[in-house]
Amino acid sequence: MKDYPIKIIPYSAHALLIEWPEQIDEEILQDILAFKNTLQISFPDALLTPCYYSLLLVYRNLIKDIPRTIESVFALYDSRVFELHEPQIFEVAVNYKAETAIDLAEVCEALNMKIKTFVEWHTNPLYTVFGLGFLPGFMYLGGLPEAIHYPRRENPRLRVPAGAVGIGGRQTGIYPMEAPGGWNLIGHSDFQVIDRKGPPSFRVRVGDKIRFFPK
Amino acid sequence: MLIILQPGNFTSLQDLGRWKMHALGIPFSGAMDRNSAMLANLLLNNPPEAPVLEVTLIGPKIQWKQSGMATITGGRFDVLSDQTGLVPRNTKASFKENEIWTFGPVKEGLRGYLAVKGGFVGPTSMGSCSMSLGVTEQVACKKNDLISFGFAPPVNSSTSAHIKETPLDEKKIYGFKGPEWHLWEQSGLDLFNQEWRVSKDHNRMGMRLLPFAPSHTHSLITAPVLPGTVQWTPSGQLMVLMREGQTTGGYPRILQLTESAINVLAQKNTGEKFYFVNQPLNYNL
Repeated sequence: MKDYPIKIIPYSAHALLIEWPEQIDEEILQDILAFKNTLQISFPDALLTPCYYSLLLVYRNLIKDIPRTIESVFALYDSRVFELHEPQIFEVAVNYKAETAIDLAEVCEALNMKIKTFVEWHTNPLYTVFGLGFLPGFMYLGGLPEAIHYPRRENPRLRVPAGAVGIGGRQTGIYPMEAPGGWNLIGHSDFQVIDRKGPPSFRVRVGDKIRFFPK
Repeated sequence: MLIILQPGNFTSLQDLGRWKMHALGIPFSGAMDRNSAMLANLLLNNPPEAPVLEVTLIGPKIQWKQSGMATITGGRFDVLSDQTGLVPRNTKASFKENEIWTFGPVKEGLRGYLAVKGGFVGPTSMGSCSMSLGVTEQVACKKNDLISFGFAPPVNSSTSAHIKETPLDEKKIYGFKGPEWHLWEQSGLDLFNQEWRVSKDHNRMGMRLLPFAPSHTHSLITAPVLPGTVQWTPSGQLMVLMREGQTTGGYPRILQLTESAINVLAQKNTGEKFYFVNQPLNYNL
């Protein structure tokens, strides 16, 4: 296991921000998740939010002595334990012919690519969930092939329908609910991160994997 | 139990929000001005986290379906009882079965809090009954909603002595420099020597400010944020994340407001002016 030059800075009177080198990198994410588990054992009541190259540590109460707390968090980094957690892999159906895919033709034309080729690129990778946020049930996915990177729309739409699959720059994702959004819409998926049959529960965790297949 | 005869501008049930769900991308939510919500509860010897009704801008018209004891705190609303006239703020007020209370438009501040002895109860989702988009079925109370009272055990009243009213006329908003402060330093604008005002775009999720600061092209990888994080958008507009703000963001985080500054800001309406004041973190409390 590799040690990264992590930074720990105070974020608020309750919170510390731990930063790894600013990259989208699977190994960094694994290191973050390992450290998160270690910290959670030492601070069972603390909140730990991972996202890409950051881990936010929020305490219930004010941090009384910031330098000492930072020191103790550094010390815990040296003692972090890697437990191999097999990620869950979700096969997610996407309908690229759905009404929602309103920008697909435009995107393919701009990329000078057949729709079939675009779909092959989009369904090929095993995407990693690098974070959860933006909207309840939204996954930040890493691994979009460079060939289909495509900028956000200049004028965001006021209403993107629930289930829309979009591309924004080097990211792709599914809108879990109707929301304003600036991504180009290339398909539709019924996949839900939050299982709402009964009390809501999360099927997906940061570090899990997603593969799309054409429906 | 009470019935909502008219919901007003935006009335919702709020406790102190969801803890730990932040890691899964769920906003904390909860009362925007936590201080006023806790004060309302403690005046009744309720636990501070007991659910309250948060009323905004133009308050609701409600009818009590049983007798009991309530308090009103936070933004200054005139509340008229059809039985006893003006209901006093920041103190206990009793009501009788079928009594109607009508909230007027807000006179100072923006959000008022109505607490009832024993607390209100509502459907709980993900560990809290705070109404929140994408989490609870309802995001706001609507006409004819019935809201029950709970049986929160009384707590010692001595703790309420430590809670003061949220100052509605406070112009200083305290915060400490955020992780991307170094980027803001390149903007050439002195954040702490500039009058800011609330734009018309503000709600429980966030608050956009005016005037615009210089635009920028810094593109960041998405990172965690908290309520009170002040983000600097590429167009130059500052955006303060509030209690129901998203949990991650991709804009430079230039300031993190203190807990009490979030409460103060939650009481600011469109056009209200204020200053940011730099408050370095106290390294040894």
